[in-house]
Amino acid sequence: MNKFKAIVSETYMNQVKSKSFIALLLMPLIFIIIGAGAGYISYSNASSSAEQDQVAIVGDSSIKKSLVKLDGDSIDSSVKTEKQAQNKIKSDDIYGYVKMSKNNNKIKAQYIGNDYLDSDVKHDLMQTLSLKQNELNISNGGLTKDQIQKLSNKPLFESHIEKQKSENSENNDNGIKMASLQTLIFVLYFFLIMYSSVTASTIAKDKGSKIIEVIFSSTTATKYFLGKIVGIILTLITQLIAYLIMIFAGYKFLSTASFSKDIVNESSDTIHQMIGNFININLAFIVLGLIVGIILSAAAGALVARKEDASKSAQPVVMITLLLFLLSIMFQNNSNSIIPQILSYFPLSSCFFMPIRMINNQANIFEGIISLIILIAFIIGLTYFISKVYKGLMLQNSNEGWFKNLIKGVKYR
Amino acid sequence: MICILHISKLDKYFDNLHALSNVNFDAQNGRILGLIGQNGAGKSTTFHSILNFIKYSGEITWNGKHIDEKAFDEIGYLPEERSLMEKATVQQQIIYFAKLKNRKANWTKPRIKGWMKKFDVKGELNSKLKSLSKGNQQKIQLICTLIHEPKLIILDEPFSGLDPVNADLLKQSILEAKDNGATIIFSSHNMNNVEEICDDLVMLRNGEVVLNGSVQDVRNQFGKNELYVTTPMSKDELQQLPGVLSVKIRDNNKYMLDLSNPDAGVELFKLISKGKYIEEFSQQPPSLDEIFREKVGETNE
Repeated sequence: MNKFKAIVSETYMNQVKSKSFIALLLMPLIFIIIGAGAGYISYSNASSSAEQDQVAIVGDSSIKKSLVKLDGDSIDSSVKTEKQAQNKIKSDDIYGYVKMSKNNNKIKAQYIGNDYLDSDVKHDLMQTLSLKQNELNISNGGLTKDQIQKLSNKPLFESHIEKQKSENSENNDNGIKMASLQTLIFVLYFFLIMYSSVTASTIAKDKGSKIIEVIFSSTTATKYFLGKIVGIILTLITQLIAYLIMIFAGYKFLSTASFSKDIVNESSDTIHQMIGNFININLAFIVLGLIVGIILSAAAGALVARKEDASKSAQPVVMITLLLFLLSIMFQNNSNSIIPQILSYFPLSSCFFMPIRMINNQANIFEGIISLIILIAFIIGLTYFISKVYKGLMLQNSNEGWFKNLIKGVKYR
Repeated sequence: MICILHISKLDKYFDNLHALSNVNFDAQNGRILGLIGQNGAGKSTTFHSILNFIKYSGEITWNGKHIDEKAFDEIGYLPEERSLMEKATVQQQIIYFAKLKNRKANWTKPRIKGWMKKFDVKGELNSKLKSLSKGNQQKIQLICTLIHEPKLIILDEPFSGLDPVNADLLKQSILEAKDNGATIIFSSHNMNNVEEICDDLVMLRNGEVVLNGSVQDVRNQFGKNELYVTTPMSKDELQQLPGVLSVKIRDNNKYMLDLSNPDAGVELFKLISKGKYIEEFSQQPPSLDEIFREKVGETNE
């Protein structure tokens, strides 16, 4: 057990202290900081330019009140006189003002400014003025109560919308599904590629440098193999936990920061639904998929003959991952055809395709569990097989390509 | 307590190559065994068999038991190709390898400096291994092999790449380990080193044991056919003497005579000394180097 722990801790410490790991760990943090910084800057710019986007209304406080009710952000309600308005234009606090006046029972609005009046403000202004003019006309017309009532009649508009809510919901669900699928495929691809390379090169270096002979004169190949895998898995878990903490802290920060809280709150349902798509059986597929990738890479790393080839050692696993990535992109919108159905039960590819089918509601939980059981059985079988032939894989020194090396390693006696 | 590495009827094939054929020998504690032979004679294959790196037929036991993971804790192995974890520091590397021999860090740590001093390592505990010279890296690897106080030490070509000063330091350490009761086996191409520190030797040729015994016994098997003399006589005069096959000049008045049989020495002493004081008259068996060349020559023929 002590030897196993020594291999695990050496592998883990070696990885987490490496510059590349620290850089990867900091990457999301840097993205969050850059994103937040950019958001804050654009918010600040928007805030400082907000006052310049306002107009003032002078001459009729009731019209100003009505307009503030309709579009308060566009009206500077602090301006009361034309003089004040002219000063504010000079200091670029507002871009114009509307001067209200009444002549011969006719309401007149005169706009003075450095720029054209915003169309929305103009629309609201005209609507308010029409209403006021109408009220003025009625009061000046000397109409009877009955006539006034008749003139007050308005057309009725009834709306019976029955499907809109479900359509919206479906569109929204599709968007969330698509985002979940893309995230899933990207996360699996990214981590598989990264950890395949890390695992294979770590082991290839031990093999190529002949340190492995010293290690195998101290412990069994099985212990070494399992120790390396556990060490790498712990590194992966460390990275995932660090990412989750950063994402959670980033989410909390952005949901309270003034420049981003509106956007985050608007998207919170989507974010929660996306998280819901992962914190279930799909998470098990992702984790187990990464473990299969690490195990296969540990075998791939044992197939190189020289230390110099360590960087190329992960190639077989990288190729498989790339193929699955392309297939999953290809079939993400057609995941119920026969190929994705088969691939959703085949170990390793099932890590991509079963979650895709489940997110698309094309596979139920029982199908997911069956696929998961197949995957777990495959991992156990693969680990057992590789641990049995690992000494041969690590000690054979042929340099005839990975496939021939694999055959030689398995036959090594 | 006698600790014995026992190898019996060891046989190993690599496809059609018969790498080891009926190899038998014992190595005892408190003794140093030299495993000699040409490249490809089967020295490393023998070591790999002892360490269970390969499957073999025959029997290998350490203190009467098959060598398993528990026995690994008592073994120190220095492979032919030296290598260390370049990014690790001296201390990290030594502690890691010692942990693999079930020695805890707090047992190993206080001993590292003493070993570094003994091997005159130019570097600090926290020095990165890649910053050390090749020679110093080799010393660190030797420390990794020896620090856990193994009872069976297997060194594959330990002297290769060491300068004479460092080779002497290594010899000193091997002799110390011997005095502490360890069983030591090492392979070497340098017969002087074997002759200097080995008690026993096994010579392999094409996977077969051709010589096995104590160094002195092996040399004596070849008879004391070499005569070292210092005399004012000329080479031609010596060549004419009875029982002399050939004469080699070693230095002024110093010769090495090859005798047809060891008994010729008695008559030659009378003829060369002529009843007077003679500075040097030493009849010896051939050196290991000569025996090695002779045995290799038999193969080549």
